[in-house]
Amino acid sequence: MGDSPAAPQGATKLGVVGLSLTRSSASSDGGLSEREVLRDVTFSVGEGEVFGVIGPSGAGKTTLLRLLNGLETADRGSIALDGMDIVGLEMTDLRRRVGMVFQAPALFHGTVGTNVGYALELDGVPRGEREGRGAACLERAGLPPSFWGRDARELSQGEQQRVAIARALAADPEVLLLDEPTSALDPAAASRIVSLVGGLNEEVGVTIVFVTHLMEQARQICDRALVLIGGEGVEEGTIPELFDCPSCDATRLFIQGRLDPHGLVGDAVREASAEAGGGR
Amino acid sequence: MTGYFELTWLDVTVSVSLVGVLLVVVLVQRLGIARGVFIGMIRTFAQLMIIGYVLKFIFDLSKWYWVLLMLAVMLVVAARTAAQRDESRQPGRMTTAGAAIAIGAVVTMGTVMAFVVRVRPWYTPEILIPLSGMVIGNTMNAVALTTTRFRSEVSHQRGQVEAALALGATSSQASSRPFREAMRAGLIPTMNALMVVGLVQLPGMMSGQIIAGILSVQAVRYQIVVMYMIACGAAVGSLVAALLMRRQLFTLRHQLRSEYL
Repeated sequence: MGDSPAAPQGATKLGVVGLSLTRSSASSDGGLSEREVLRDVTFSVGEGEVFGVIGPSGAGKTTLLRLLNGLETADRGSIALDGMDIVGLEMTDLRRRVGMVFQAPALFHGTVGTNVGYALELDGVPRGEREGRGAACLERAGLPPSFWGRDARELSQGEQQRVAIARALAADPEVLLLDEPTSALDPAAASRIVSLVGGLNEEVGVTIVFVTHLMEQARQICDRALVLIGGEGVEEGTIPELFDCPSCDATRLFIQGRLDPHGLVGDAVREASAEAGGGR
Repeated sequence: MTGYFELTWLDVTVSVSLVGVLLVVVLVQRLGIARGVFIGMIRTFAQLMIIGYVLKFIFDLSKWYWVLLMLAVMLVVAARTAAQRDESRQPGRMTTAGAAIAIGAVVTMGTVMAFVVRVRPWYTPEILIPLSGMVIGNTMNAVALTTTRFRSEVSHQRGQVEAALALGATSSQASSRPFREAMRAGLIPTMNALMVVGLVQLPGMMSGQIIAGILSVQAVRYQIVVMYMIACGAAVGSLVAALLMRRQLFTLRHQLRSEYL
């Protein structure tokens, strides 16, 4: 993989090969229906990179992140962290090394301190040191230390998402997964969160996987990205490569905002190819 | 004077009119449960008649295996009832409920028969069957409340539970709040019963003796033991149910099995 043009510079932090997941759910007639959520997804994230996962809604982006954090297990394929298959890692250790921020902040009941302190407690930080360490995490997430004692529910959406980021940072992760962290925010708050994420990568050096369906956000902070459409990784490359000369029709259509987001696995890609008039 | 007013079959027949009131209310308000009311009416009559004969038969024979068979039947019915109240698609619900009720009842009755009511032989049916029935019935309610509440709390707090997991919490750590809420829900009815017993409703055991005209200090002592006994059964049953539910709702790799929510 080392000499492929899509490969990251330097050491590979996360190496994902052939990830597939089929989910069964109860259908209206009482039977089980199966849906292929991810099919044979392969990509790699370099150490210290901001890596984007871009694609329309329903493409499987969230599921992909959940697999990286171990909240779900793939049917096939492998995920390696620093070259070690995560199957061999203790799940709780993996999750401390690969933190996750969800679309909704999902804060715990209580104060900001309860939230950030929880992550520190899991890390074994003694009670007396938690507020000091936590305040540093809040600051990194762009919140003043005075927020520590505030009720988490009273904060604005943007502030809540910052608390969620501070909480994830408190575990001192090597990789931070962010699942459309701005989707519930107004444009101004969204753009501040995006710059914050870019800044975190520069200041803390944490590797970031950033999921978004907004091209502008990807352009703004990502070094490289994977285009995920209908559960398939259709193209991986640097941002200029993807935006300026996409090698895949589906990518081009998606970037131009002309891709029907509701295609099934594979179909979207094939339809896109047909529509663009170019077979592969 | 034997001291109590004898009921004839005619009196019992007249009492059917009381359920008639229920039936009328259900039909007039179109609650759509008339069928259930009718079946319940018949079942009450049939079950109590049959159980009267069965108990008489068991009391007369006084064999340990008949007593245990009777207790096993009570347990299975209780497990089924508790499992039916849980409207999820999770397999093994009845086993979970059965195990929780059985452990709660065995721990409680074992203690009672060994240290409190030290009757010999231990299987004396006149003692073991009614006391076990009370423990099983109350534990069944605690278990049903605990399992349904555990599931609904995890479902409502799914975001928080998964956020905790994503931070590296174990499934026990991540579900500690639903766990506590579920156990509390399971134990509150029993706690309330301990608070108001005798003030509003006289417990069945004492009522029976009062009506039979033999209320004694013995009845009061038994009732106190019964109250503490059902509290113990509910506590053990609720704890076991919550522990089993936690095992089933999460994988060994600390992943939430959302298909069971």
